[in-house]
Amino acid sequence: MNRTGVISAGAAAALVVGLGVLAGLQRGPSIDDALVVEFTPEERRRVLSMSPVPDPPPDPTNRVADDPAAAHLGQFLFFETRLSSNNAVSCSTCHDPNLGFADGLPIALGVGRGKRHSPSLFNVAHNRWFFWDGRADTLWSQALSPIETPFEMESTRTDIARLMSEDDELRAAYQDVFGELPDLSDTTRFPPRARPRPDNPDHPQHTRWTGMTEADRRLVNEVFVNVGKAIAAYERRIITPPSPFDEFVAGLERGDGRSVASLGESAQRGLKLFVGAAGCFNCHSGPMLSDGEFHNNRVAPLDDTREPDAGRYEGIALLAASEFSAGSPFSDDPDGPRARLTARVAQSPENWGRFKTPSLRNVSRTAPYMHQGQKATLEAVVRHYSTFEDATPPSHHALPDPLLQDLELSDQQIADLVAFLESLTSPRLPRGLTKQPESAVYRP
Amino acid sequence: MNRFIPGALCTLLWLGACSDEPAKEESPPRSASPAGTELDGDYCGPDAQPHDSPATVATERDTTSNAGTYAVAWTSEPPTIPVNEPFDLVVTIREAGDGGAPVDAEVIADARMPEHAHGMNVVPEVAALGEGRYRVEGMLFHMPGSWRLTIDITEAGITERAEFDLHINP
Repeated sequence: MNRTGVISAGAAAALVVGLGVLAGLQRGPSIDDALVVEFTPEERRRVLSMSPVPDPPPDPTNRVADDPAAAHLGQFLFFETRLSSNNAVSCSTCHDPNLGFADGLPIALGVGRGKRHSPSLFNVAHNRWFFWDGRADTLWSQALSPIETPFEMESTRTDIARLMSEDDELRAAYQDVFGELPDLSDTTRFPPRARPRPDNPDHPQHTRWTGMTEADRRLVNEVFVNVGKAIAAYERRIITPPSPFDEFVAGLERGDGRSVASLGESAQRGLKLFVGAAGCFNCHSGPMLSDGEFHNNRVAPLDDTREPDAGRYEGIALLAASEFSAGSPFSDDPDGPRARLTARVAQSPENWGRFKTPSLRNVSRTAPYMHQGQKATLEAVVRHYSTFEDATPPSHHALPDPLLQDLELSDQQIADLVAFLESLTSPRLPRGLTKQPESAVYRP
Repeated sequence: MNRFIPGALCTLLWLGACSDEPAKEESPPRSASPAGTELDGDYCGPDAQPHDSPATVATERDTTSNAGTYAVAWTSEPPTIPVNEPFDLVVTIREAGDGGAPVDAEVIADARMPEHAHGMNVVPEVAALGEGRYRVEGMLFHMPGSWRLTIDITEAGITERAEFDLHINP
C-alpha cells in the first residue's frame, strides 16, 4: 500500500468513527438512560393508552360534521359577534384561542355573568357529554345553547335565522352547505326576539314564538340547528397537536431514548404517580386524560353567595327535556348509538353535585380550574386532591368517595405532578384555525 | 421515597384485586363463584405474572346463582371489555346441573365498582333472544378497576342473583 493509500485508509477509518459518534449523538441517550422511573406492567399499559390523540370519532348526528365548507362557515360564525344581542359577544369571547379556547376567568362573562367556568374546547369533539353537567349530548346542540342563554349571548333563534337569511354572504355560505334558505325578512311571520321559553311562558319572547305558525317555527329551528352543526364542524378541528408527553409515549413504545427524554425527570416521576399511586388515572384516563363522565370532587364553591349547584343531577333532567338532543327530529341519526346512550342514562341521587371530568390536554393553558374556576393554578388543583383542605364535606346524597382520600403528597411530588401536567402542552394551532376568516363563503 | 405509596398501591394501583379480602358491599349469599376465585388466583396468586395477564381479566365466565337454581354464563361483544366504551353481553341461563334446560325469565343486568361505591352511569337494556339467551345492550364501564357484574333472574316472583368479578384495564 502506498502512502496515499495509508492516508486514505486512515481518513476513512476516522470518518467511520466520526460518523459513528455523530450517529450516536443523533440517536441521543439510550432508553435506559432516558427513562428515570420504572413502570409496573399495568402502569405502562395505562401510559400507552393515553397517547396519541386519535381523530375525532364520527358524528352521524351531524351530516356536515366533516364538510370543509360547513367547517369554514362554522369558523366564521364562531367569531361572529352578530350572534349576540349586543353585537359584542361571540363564541370566542368565552372560548378565546389565545386563552386556551377558554377565557382565563373563574366565571364566564358574556352579555352577563354566568354561573360556571368556561371550559376549554381543545379536542371537544371527543366529548361524550357537553357542558359541565352534560346537559347536551352532541357538539352541535351544545353550540346552540349559549346563543340564547340570557347571560351568554342573549340572542334568539329567530334573530339568528334572519341574520343568516338577510346577510348576503352568510346566506350564500349557508346555501352552499345546506341548500335553499327561504326569505325570512317578513317580520310579521318571523318577529325579532322570538324563541321558546318553556320555563317562563308569559315572557314576550315566548309569546312571539308561540304566535308563529308551526311551519314557520320549524323553518327557524332548522336554520338555527344548521348554524349549530356548522359551528360544530369547525370545533371538530380544534385538535391538539402532539405534545412532549406524546413524544415520550411514542419513544417508550419503540424504545427510543431520545423521544423518551422529551419528558424530564420530574415530569416522568409525576406521570408514574398519575397512573399509579396518586390515583388520578381513575378518572383522567384515555388519550383525553378524562373519562368524560361525572364525579363529585368535593371542591368548595367559589364563594358563599352561590346557590348549591346540582351539576349532573340537573344536567340529566335538562338533557331529557332538550328539544335538540341526539334522539330529536333535528338529529341526523335519531335512532343511532348516540341517542340510545342518552336514553340509557341512569339518574340517581349520586349525581347531585357531580361535574364532568375535564380533559387535561393543554391544561397549562386553561387556568383557572374546576367548574367555578375555584383553583388558580395547577399546583392548587393537585394540593386539593392531596389534602382536601377547605373541601366541602361529602354530600348527604352521596357516600364518601373512597377515591378521594388524602394523599399527603410531598412538595416534590406535587411539583412532579405539575411538571407532568405541563408536559401535556401542545404547540399552538395554525393561525388559520384561530381567527375569523375574511369571508363566510368557502373558497378552497 | 414517599410514605403513602405502599399502602396505596393495593387500593389504588391494583384497585383491590390483590387484597386478600376485597371490600364487598352487602349482597345475597354467594355460591361458589369460579369467576371470583379465578380472578383472585389468576391475577394475584403466588405465580401471578401481571405482565402476562390480559388487559381485561375475565372475558368469558360462568357461575351458579346464589340459591343454586341457575347456571349463568356470559360472553361480551367485543370479546375484550373496553375501558369507557359501550359494550354488549350475551347471557345464557340454564337450570343448574348437567344438561339443564334453558330458562326464560325476567332478567336485569347491572354492575358496580364495590371499591368506589358507585355503579355504571347507564342502565343497560336486556332483550330475550330465546332458548335461555339474553342480549344485554349498552353496558359501559367508565373507569378502570374492579367491577362486579350482577345478573338478577326472576321467575314467579323469586329472584336469584349471579355475580361475576372483573378487573378492567386499558
